Amino acid sequence: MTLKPLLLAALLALPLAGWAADPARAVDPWVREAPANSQVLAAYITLENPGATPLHLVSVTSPLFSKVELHQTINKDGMAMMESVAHMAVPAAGKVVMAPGGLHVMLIGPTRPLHNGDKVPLVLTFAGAGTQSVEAVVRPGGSGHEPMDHGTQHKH
Amino acid sequence: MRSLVSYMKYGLLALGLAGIAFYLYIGPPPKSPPLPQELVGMMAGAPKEITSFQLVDQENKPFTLASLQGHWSMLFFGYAHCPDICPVAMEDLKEIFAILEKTSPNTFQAGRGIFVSVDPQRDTPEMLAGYVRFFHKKFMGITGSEEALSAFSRQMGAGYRIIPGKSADDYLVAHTSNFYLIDPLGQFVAYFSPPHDPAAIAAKWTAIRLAYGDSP
Repeated sequence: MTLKPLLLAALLALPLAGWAADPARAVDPWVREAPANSQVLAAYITLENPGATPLHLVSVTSPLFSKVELHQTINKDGMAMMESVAHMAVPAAGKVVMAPGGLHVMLIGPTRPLHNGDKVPLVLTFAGAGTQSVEAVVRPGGSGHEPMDHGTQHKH
Repeated sequence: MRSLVSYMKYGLLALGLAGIAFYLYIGPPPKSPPLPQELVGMMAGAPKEITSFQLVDQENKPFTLASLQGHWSMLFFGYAHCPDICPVAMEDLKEIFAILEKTSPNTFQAGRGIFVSVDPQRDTPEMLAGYVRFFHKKFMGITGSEEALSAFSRQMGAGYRIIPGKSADDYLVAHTSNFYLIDPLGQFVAYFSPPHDPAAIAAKWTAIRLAYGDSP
């Protein structure tokens, strides 16, 4: 009986703790709009680490995809290829930039076609630092659509 | 404003080069006109004749050397199960066509984009039809047997390699990410290596056409 209020308090505190513990700042998360029959898509996020200890993004999940992997596009022997990466490191007081042609989150097996403007919920898991929910927006994007960098202008 | 000015500078430069090219190569060109080196980032040397091949297009119709003739084709070798490099290249190619539509209606008219799928196991013509149409109405998709694709890609120096994955249909494909330009005689003219700058590629494509004696 005395447990009840404690349990309630714990339950109430849980989401608050989760929110308060957001390990990183996710800047401009987006997913490239792809043909309706695409089985693979890519998400890009710039992660900033305000803390004094490095963060390690180890996995991502999404209710809209059957599988999510961390990938990197590399160039080897004049050929572009992808390789999966075990984690992405976000240095203390630094950031990691995912961008076309580089680091990305590979989204496999969409549960439905996604269109420009749709929102994709993603849950990021950091080793030893908890999880974080992020909402990525679907939009088209080629080479000129890297995350906005201060000092450069979009050529439109 | 500064970016607009530098953009205009590039435009004027491209126009100037195009003008020089036009005066140098005015009149009906021989079969293989020499191309001014400064016009092309990456030259294939003298235009190189493509030898006969047998592939299929997105409507499952034969696609052969004759299908290349009469069009300017910008080719990209990739696969539809590719989340990053291939759609980025297709978006860039779409941007190239958007620029051409404004700057060189004749290049836009004579040109088309071709996605060559080197993954025939997963990319059926039906799949390719949906894939290319998503990007642009002037894009088509072609594929074929392993042997035909390998022989065709080698003619342009395009390479690819299947990297086995955890299961029979879970694998990756490494591939060159250049664009390859084929002229209306079915000759390989130039390639453009990444990172792709759509404005620069559009300007060079137009300049090459002018060097052939075509109108802008």
